[in-house]
Amino acid sequence: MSTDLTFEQVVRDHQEMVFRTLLRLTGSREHLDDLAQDVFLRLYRALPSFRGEALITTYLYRIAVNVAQDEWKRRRRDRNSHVSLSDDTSGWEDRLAHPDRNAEQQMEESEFAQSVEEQLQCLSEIERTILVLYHQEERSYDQIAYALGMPIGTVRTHLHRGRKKLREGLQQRPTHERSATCTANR
Amino acid sequence: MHGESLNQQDLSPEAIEHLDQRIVRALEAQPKVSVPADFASRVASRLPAKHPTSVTSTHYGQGTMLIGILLTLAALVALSLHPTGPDRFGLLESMLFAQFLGLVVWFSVLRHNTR
Repeated sequence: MSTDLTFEQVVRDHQEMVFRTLLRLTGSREHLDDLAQDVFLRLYRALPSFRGEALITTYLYRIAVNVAQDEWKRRRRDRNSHVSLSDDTSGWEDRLAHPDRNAEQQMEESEFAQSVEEQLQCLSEIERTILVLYHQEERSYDQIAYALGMPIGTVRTHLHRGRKKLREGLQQRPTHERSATCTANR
Repeated sequence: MHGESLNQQDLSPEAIEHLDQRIVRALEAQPKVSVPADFASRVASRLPAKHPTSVTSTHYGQGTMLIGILLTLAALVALSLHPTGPDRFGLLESMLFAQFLGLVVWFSVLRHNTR
């Protein structure tokens, strides 16, 4: 069917973005495939009401955030709120190393990235979502506001507050401690 | 190591700026993800089936139109059998006759187009 083929192309074009957004929002690779499928199935069901007032990418971010919220709720229900990337056997932080740096710098950056990731998971859901959409996905205030259904001013406030909490959490965090302990003020 | 300076609570403005830059760099680094090769085709295979469109025509409109024609015709016959006055009868009869003619033409065109 031509519609399905077209939609399959939409999935191909956006699948990587959906995977990496969900990965950072949920902080785990567990169920990532299922969650991404859920995002695209919700998009398919919502397409008849999609009036094209926004880019399909922005619409997808909105759905991805909703799916991540459902996943957070499910985890809370399961009383399994301890989120860590240590369950991941192929941590992406290890692959972020810059090729022209020496081994010590690479390790240091990798550890720092790990700390940022852990502190990110300690932020409130909305702060984490906005930080990910703004920095990782390079979305504008307008697009984030549309995706989250909130005023631009609120987006700015959460972004500023999230960054501040992240910095404070990293400042307070002892360097020898590498567990996913949240030290930032909630 | 830079990491050791993170323990200090009172960082200089330069150190805070440096820390902020490192945080932003870490946040901007996109995680590498491995999307299964068959992911898109799996999603496409799970799409809900579309509801079949009904192709049975109902002809409710034509039925209503036919009833309208018959009613106007009956009214015209009744008025011709029981005249109530020359002026009122003429106006009402001509209005009903116009409605009757309009319905007949519309019905004929509709029947012709749906054949």
